[in-house]
Amino acid sequence: MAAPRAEDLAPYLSQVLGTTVTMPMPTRVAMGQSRAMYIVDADYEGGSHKLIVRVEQGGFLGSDSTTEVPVMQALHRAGYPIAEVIAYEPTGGVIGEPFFVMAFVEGASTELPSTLDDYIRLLRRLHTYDPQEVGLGFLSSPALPTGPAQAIVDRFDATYRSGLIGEPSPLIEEAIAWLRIHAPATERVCVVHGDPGPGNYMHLDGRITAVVDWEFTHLGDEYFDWAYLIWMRGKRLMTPEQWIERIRDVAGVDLDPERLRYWRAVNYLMGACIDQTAAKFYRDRVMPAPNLLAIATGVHLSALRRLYDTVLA
Amino acid sequence: MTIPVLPRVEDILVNSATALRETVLPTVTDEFAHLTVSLVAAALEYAVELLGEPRDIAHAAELDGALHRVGPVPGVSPHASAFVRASQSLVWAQHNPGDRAEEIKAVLHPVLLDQLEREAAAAAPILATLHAAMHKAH
Repeated sequence: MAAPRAEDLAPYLSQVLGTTVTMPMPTRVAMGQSRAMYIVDADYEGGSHKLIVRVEQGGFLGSDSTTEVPVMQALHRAGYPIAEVIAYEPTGGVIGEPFFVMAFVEGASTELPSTLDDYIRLLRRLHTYDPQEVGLGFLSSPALPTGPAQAIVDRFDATYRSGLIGEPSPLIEEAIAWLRIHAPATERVCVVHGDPGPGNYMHLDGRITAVVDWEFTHLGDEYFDWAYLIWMRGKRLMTPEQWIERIRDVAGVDLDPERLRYWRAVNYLMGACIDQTAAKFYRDRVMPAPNLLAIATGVHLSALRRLYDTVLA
Repeated sequence: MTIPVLPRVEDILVNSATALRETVLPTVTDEFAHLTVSLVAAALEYAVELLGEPRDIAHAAELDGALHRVGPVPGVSPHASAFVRASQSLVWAQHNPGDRAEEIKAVLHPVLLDQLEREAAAAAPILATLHAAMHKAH
């Protein structure tokens, strides 16, 4: 996967924006796994504009931009704190991979406890949106009551199978069977971020400036996000019990422990399955990046162990 | 002119990892390049461990032994690989709860978990490298 070059990006953006764009060579930033991220100061319309270029990695980690971009655009229009998408090139014809360009948002993605309550409120706000009203009617809406659970297990099952190299993983196969058999009911389909929590929002001076990483956003059960926040991205900041209490106090959401256990397992299944794609990409030499080896082995096994402990032990 | 004794693959990998860590890394200031060089060094060391022990072959043999202890399971092909048979047996157990299902899980789970733990230990250094780099990036 080659880095985007200024001589390719600048003419493309000039055409999209209808004005002459000049820029130096974009610089890669060491954030994100499913996308290569570059930062560049582009000059146009008499000023300098800091932009982020988010480049797909051949479908690595089981995601692409086909829903991510329209989700971001719809939520930006709805007033949700999210970076504005400037351009989307879905064909791969400009730099060799699909990519989109978004406005740079000031802030850091470090874990900052003082921003957690605001983040919980923001996540709750996302869950209370009517998908149709905010322009997300194009997302597939699973049938109630168990469709949200079945659909997401089906999705990650497909991701897992797409990443298999010769042999199946017995514990993943067993966990998928368990999750299908025990799919819980969902009362209301809502907008699910899919990768929520500290590290996936930007903050500046104690204020949240943007929520990022919308590649796994779908319509489903809000418990997916709450479990992910508690046991994945938020686990270093508070105990699960503290998170559950905090979410109840701040967002008024009283989480059911058994249902949380199920969705926590779905989160781990997601991790194990999307990490599986790294093994195939690495073996097929689609991407030579050494982080794929770490993801295919250590990260994958960590998720698989937690999946086992949550529902199979 | 020949080289009577060719360099050993293990030495090439170990020395390359050492050179990256001790010579290249201290000079790299770009954050992404630093992450990549760190991970390449860890990947070379992971490869050295693989050279010393073909663990996947051992895992399949262990699982095959466990499946013999399990015995026939409905719908499971005796001619399939050990990983396919283990997968089918455990899925069958989920769909058919009871004593037989518990027997299957009691035999296969410890073997699979032991293998998981060994692979996790082998991958621990490269995982730690990735985590440290990610934490720094955020």
